Amino acid sequence: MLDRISFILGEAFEAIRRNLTMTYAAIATVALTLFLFGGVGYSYFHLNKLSESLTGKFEMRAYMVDGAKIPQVQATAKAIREIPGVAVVNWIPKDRAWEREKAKYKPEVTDGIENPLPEAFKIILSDLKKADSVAASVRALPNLDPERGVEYLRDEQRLLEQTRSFLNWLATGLGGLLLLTSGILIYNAIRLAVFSRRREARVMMLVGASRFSVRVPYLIEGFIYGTVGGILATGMLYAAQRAIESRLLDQTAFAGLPPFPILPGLALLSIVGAVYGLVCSYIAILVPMKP
Amino acid sequence: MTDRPYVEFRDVHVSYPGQVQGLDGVTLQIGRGEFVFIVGRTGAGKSTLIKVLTREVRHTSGEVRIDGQEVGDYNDRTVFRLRRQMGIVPQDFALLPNKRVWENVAYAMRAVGHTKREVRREVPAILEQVQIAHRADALPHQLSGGEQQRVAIGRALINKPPLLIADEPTGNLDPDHSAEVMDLLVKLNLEGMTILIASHDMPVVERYGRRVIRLDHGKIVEDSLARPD
Repeated sequence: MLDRISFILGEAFEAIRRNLTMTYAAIATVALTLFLFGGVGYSYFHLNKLSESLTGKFEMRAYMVDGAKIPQVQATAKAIREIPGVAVVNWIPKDRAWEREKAKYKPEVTDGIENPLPEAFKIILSDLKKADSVAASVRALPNLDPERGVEYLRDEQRLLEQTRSFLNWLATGLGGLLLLTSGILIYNAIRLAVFSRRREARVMMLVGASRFSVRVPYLIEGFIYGTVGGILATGMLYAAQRAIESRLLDQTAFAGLPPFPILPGLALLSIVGAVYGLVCSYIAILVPMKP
Repeated sequence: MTDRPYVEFRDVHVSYPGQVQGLDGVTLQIGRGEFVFIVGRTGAGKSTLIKVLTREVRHTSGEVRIDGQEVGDYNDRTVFRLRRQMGIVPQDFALLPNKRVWENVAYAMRAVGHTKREVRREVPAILEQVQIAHRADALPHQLSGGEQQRVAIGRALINKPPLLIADEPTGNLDPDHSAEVMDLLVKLNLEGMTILIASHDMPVVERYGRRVIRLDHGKIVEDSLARPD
């Protein structure tokens, strides 16, 4: 058995040795692709966590028309609760709000002024993406102040969403292109290996070597390209994370990035690379390896 | 010993794309231990007949049996089992140019699963059998055509096959080397191996006086028995 393994591994490494330029190109592209995917995935994961934690902090204020009565307040609160994307609705009675405002100033500033505040609601969203639609639905309710209506941090929410969609675009657009390029490079590297070892393959088929013995060295080659690419990508991600963190720490009072999960990252990227390498090499040997 | 033919073709047709007939209703039987020449002009169907036997080409209809087993039953995954029952000597020898004589045989043995120990034990014996042991360390380009052919025959013997198929084994050789190779094949036949040779080297075919099957346009047009010794 060991004898068999050593023969098949020997064949795989011989194929790699004969094809060094393509080997470097294939490994470098896989590494770059996985670096990009890993980097985007890592950023996306943390941005998602950040936006989840911020969702609770993003709240809307809705203001009713002056003179709104308690039954109108109750009906409006009920209607807001039923809007998709709304997690919590708190009524802020105008009297309590005015007391809080007055406490911020010297008594002589507010003495004699009639409470100018309307009945209001604090709305906490369950899904930040729905902020605009929630605002529109709330605004459409009767008894809401037509001028002040709804107030929320639209710009901050939009920035977060734009960053997320940019990362999505980066992953699908540029990442897809790199994925395709690395796939073609692995395919080409394997096809070149098949071509450069066509005499050996022919001899193997002539003397009755099994399909396994003929094909597996090329699959191992693709597996090696993908795995090495995955390992390099993990190293590059780790280095990039450290470099960005130290730059941010130097220039700002930044608290630091979340630590890069090196072992899970290594495992994930190596497995993804290995599977991708295997698939590409399998496709590459389908046609030229017919017995 | 059974009466069953070792190789049998029954009404075998092979059609290539474009309605080209490779074989057109070939029926023949070859007994165990026979020495048979398949002759004919270029394009007559010699190579197709051999490729059907090695299952490099699938027959379109009819039956092709080796030792009772239908060749068409082997698929891409199992065809290696068929090939281990035969030694194949291609016209171009198919030697690995960067490997020495002994390595060419050893590589083939390793490819079919022999251990290093078996390779060390059996390669010298095979090289002796085909009378090339004295050139064991030579590279193919350092050998004459006849010597290269003997290496190819030696490699074909690694599975100790009962059938040896050679495509134009003397096609690229001068008369002296042709005789060397043919003498070797006759010797293997005397040891009990069934030999099937595709050739258009008529002087060689006539000199050896064995059974000759002549093909033309994919049909058998002559099947002459071997001359009695």
